Amino acid sequence: MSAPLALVRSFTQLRTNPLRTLLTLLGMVFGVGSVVAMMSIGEGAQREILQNIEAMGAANLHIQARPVPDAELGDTVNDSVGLARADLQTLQELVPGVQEIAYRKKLPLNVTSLNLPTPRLAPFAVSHNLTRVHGLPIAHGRPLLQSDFTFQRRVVLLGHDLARDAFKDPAAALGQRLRIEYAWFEVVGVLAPRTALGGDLPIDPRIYNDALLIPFDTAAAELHPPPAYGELDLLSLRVPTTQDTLPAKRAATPVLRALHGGVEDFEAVAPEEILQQRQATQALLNLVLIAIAAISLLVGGIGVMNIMLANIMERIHEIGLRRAVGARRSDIRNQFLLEATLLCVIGGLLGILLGNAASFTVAAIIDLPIAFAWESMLIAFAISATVGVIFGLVPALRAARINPIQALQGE
Amino acid sequence: MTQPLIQLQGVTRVYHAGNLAVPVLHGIDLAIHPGEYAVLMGRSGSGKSTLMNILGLLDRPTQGTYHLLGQDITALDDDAISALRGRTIGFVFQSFHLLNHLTIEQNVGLPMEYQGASARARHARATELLERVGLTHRLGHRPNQLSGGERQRVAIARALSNNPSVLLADEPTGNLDTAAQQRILDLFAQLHTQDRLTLVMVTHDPAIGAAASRLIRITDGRITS
Ligand SMILES: Nc1ncnc2c1ncn2[C@@H]1O[C@H](COP(=O)(O)OP(=O)(O)O)[C@@H](O)[C@H]1O
Ligand SMILES: [Mg+2]
Repeated sequence: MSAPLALVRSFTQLRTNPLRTLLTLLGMVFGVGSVVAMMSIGEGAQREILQNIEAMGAANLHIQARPVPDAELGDTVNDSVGLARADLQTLQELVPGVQEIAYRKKLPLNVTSLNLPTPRLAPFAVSHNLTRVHGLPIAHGRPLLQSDFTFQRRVVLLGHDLARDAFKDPAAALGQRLRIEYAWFEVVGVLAPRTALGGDLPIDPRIYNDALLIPFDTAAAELHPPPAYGELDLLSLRVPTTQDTLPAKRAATPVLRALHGGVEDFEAVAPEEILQQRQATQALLNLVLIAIAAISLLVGGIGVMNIMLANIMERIHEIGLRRAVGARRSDIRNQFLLEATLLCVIGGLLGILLGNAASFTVAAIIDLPIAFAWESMLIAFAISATVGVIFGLVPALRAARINPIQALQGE
Repeated sequence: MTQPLIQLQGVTRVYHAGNLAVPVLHGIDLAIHPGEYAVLMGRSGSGKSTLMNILGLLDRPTQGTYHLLGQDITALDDDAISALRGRTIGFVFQSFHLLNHLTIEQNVGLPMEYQGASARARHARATELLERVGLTHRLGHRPNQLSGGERQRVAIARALSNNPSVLLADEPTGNLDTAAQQRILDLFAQLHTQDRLTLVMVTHDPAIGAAASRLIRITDGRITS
């Protein structure tokens, strides 16, 4: 019998008992569906990590101030002044590949003229290159200039959400004057919005949506003189590529430790490293998912095998008749194998639909990032066909072995 | 004298039930020539079906030789026997054995599927044969929409689809009423006289035996006339 005809006949056979076919499929539908859903979610998580790291500047080594417990502070300050601009020159000279260094310090804030609650605001004293190094495009106005620092100009850049909420329209914020503590500042620029990216990285770009970025020198002169300990919170060392962040970390750590009199009051975070950790976590998760998927597919496959075995008994006359009209054992074997495989493949295709529907629904409800994983469709298809062949083989071989005379007489 | 279509020599068939040997056929010598209409009669349990299964290549003799169209079938493997069976034997069973998930036309064309016939060829042949048995109007129906007599005529059309050398019918009218039975027997008679088809039929009914060109009696696994 030709292959296309055999396929058509298998379809006809499966159509004769749609309810049973559907019930048999269910195992496969859920097995494959869970594989696809999990892969979409996994792929989504993976992309989010990449985007996140991209957003915070994949080619930056971040050095954060590590809070020192109050009890140790007394000892610490004898040896170290914390992260400070004094560190910059040495880092620039001793860490290979550093192109530039940006820095910032979170400012205490008591009063502003803005009609917004102060705890929401994120005021930072920043270096002039911070927006460039942290990849923050200016939507309106201009960035901070070197001259703003030289002349300690009272200028400020606003985050997108803050500008929008305080002045109705972000663009309308330009040229406005606002009071921060007891000094008046002019808004010279507004940042582009940063989209939501769940992140626990040292730089979650979303914090800049409510930021007030003030030239470091101006803040020191007009607002709060830098504290004796901890002049800076964060240094970001720009290196050529993401891969350079790990070597930069290895080089920077001993340099800073020496500068800080042996005190580890800082923490260097390389995106490359986070990426690797996340990928390791993801790999572990994937392993668990594979195990779950394997179990579902096993259950689905056994369901198919069971139905095919029952099928043989019900269709024993058909087997005998087919043998009588010239079917070889291999024709019978192929027929049953094809039916089982078709059953699994249909289940697999439905599973692909279900898996995608489920993951997109879940994603829409709980705001989970997911991605359409094309490979997962192919993999799911191949897996279901394989399950069909594996679990269809035993019933098919059994059907092929049946003696035609007994089959024709069979009950 | 033409070469016999079927030639059995010293054929025995012994069934094994546990470690008990049950001999059913004892040294059958039988030759059937092309164009013969042979009727096989005998009491229930005498071995008629066993013999028919051997003739139809569904079973093999325990001992003895079987030549079909001059070919020694004991030398053939299972695949070759299946192929030969599909090409040369047409079966008509007492219980019809039609497939309910296929249409009448597809049932008739089924044996041709295993010979690699095209859809067009199967359709043409099925149409021709269903016309022959008077069921053209039933082409697209399912077997369970047909009466017993109609079903058996479909089964006969199916048995003829590959142009077999011999038609084997084991009690083909056993499940039918008298009218339907007569129609089947008329069809067989027509196939014998018009088409010169070779037929072997098992029956209990002595009246049916009269229409045949040859009567073979079997008693306790031996041919007695
Ligand atoms: N598979 C088998 N195993 C054991 N005995 C069998 C088997 N098939 C048939 N027989 C026995 O062989 C004898 C002949 O059977 P069968 O050829 O069907 O007779 P008939 O068709 O003439 O009524 C019977 O006694 C039956 O019980
Ligand atoms: Mg019998």
